[in-house]
Amino acid sequence: MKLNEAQIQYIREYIDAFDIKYYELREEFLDHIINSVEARMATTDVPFIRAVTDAKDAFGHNGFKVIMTEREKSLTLQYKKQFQGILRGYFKFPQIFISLLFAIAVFVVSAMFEKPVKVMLIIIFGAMLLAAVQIIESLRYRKVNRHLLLEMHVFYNTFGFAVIIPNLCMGMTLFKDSADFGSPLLMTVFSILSTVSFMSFLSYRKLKKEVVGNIKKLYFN
Amino acid sequence: MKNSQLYKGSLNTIIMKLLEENGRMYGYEITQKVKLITKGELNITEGALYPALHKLEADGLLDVEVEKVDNRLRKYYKLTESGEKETVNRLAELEEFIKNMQSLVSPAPGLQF
Repeated sequence: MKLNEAQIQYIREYIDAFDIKYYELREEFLDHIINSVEARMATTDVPFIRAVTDAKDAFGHNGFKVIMTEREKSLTLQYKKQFQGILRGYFKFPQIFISLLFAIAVFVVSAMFEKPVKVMLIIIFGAMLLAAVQIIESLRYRKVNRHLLLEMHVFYNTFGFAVIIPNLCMGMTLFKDSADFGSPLLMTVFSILSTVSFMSFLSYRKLKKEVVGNIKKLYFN
Repeated sequence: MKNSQLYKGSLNTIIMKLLEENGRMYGYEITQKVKLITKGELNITEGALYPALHKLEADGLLDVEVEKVDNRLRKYYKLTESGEKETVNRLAELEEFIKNMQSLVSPAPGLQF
């Protein structure tokens, strides 16, 4: 039997009482419970309210919360793996040539200036700024119908600060030590670090594009 | 889930096998299909099903599609290309396991404990 709009609304409000903060999971639980209640009412004499409670109880004690936490964990792990995979790609054949060229260019251009640190600072803070722009740009995909989108939320938590803070720290170190910045060895090290920093940004950007693309395909069509 | 400890390790393979046969399915449909096939002997709980589906999705073995059904969203799961390959491997492993268990439970004459 099909539930009517008032019954579906009751289930929506019932689920909302369990504080499911993510849109995807809320919709998935809602669909499951509606299906389950419809089947229970079609095959037994159980009243509607009892059928709803039974359907929810099938998720187990604290079931929604446990599933929510598990999903956050598996998604965080997935994004970290994907990010590392993309970043590693920049240091493997054939992309490593681009990375090497970038590092050499940083070294050569930096050496042309009286204070080479400035060029590297521009690259590091530039990568950081671009990452911040990327975050702001994707803010519009953070919520659907006033509910957080799990994918975007986990993505921000995993990378929002992960990309910006190390760059900021490195930038500060460079700035602090700028007076001693003359030796070719130090310049080589910082050229490599600037390259890693920039490639991290590119990896972050690529992954963000994938995540947003998937969200758009699923929930913004 | 009946005899949950015995079935626990095979849950992912059961899900993947069902998706291999049915193309795409949603959560509730999977629980009902399992109940139907096993004539009610095996009941996959929601608390076990969804973490398993989400983990398979995170591992890149499942892909999702979302459709509007009766004015609400329904999330369908289907195997990815690597999921299809993995299903073949896992089913072979499971068959091997069942064969070994069968040998242990009913040993051939002359091989009894």
